[in-house]
Amino acid sequence: MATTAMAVSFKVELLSGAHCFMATQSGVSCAGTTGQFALTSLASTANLAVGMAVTGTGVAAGAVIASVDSSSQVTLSKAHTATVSSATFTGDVFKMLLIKASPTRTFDGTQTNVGTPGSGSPSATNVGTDETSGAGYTSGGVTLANVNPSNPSGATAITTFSANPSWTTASFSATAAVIYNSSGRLGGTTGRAVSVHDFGGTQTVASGTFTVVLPTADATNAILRIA
Amino acid sequence: MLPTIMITEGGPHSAEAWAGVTAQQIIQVGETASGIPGAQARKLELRVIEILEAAHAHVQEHEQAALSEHGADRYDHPLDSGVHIDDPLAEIVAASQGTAYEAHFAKAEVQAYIRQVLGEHFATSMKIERDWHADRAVAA
Repeated sequence: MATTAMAVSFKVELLSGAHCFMATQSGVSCAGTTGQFALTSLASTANLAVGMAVTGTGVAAGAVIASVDSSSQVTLSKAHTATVSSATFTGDVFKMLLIKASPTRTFDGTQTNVGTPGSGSPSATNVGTDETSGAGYTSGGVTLANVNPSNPSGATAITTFSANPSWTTASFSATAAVIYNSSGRLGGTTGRAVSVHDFGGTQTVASGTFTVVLPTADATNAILRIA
Repeated sequence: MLPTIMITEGGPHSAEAWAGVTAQQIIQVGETASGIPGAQARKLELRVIEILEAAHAHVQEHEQAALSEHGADRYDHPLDSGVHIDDPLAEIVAASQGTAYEAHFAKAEVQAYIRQVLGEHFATSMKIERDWHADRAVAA
């Protein structure tokens, strides 16, 4: 069974700055000098946040944003290995996995982590063997593409993901989905649960396409909302 | 609100299936809608579904052609669904003209929202075409 809910632990983590839903910005024009840490001449740093991963020619492997210094400059955690002229900035990587038909536990807002999907006893810290399985499904689920959080109306903030999650050449059954953060922003812990989404019954696909169409991205229906 | 689950056996979702799902996020006609506005809403909903079925079919055909041309290299191309949005959006707005909903669909924020929905659904459809292409290449 599953009950649609935002994980309580996620709410605490969010207030602790432990999740970054910023959309990826690719090929951003900037300037960096070998051996230095700063990236200058950015057109805008409005949608950049500390901790976002940074990649690009001349950017050191594993570098993240250490500080946002101004509207045109950020400082990275590692010195550049060569001249930098453009960079890609990536928020946390969120994924959606599916819960099998007739799971042994009820997934709800008490879920804190997905643990080791597909392995081990299900608990609040482990989806374990309650994860679905079958042709076309890879344990751990699919990666979601971030969309910058927004305030579409009223006092509600939302975020959603672009390109609805889908599985092809698929044969499996599922009763719910769990969205989780696969990045280790807080204490290096990966797999932190974000939310559980009940499907309202068992959904079965046989040698076909299974798509979870995310709800309307507005203040009433968006997949993730904070009122 | 429960997520909508789309299931299609044997291949990608059809343009008809997509049209119904996409239309649901653009226009919702209440069960008790009545009178001339109710009739107009129902006619508009059907017209939107027609527009979207043609648009989704075009997206799928375009992606299939691109896969035929580029093969597996196509998987690395961006999911540029934005190039497919202007025409169906314009058709939807045009379909609303002369109805009680003309002012609603003329609003910039409504059109921006429709753009977002079309972009997401078209991108998903494109990715599904690519995934099936890859699956069939492995199976061959």
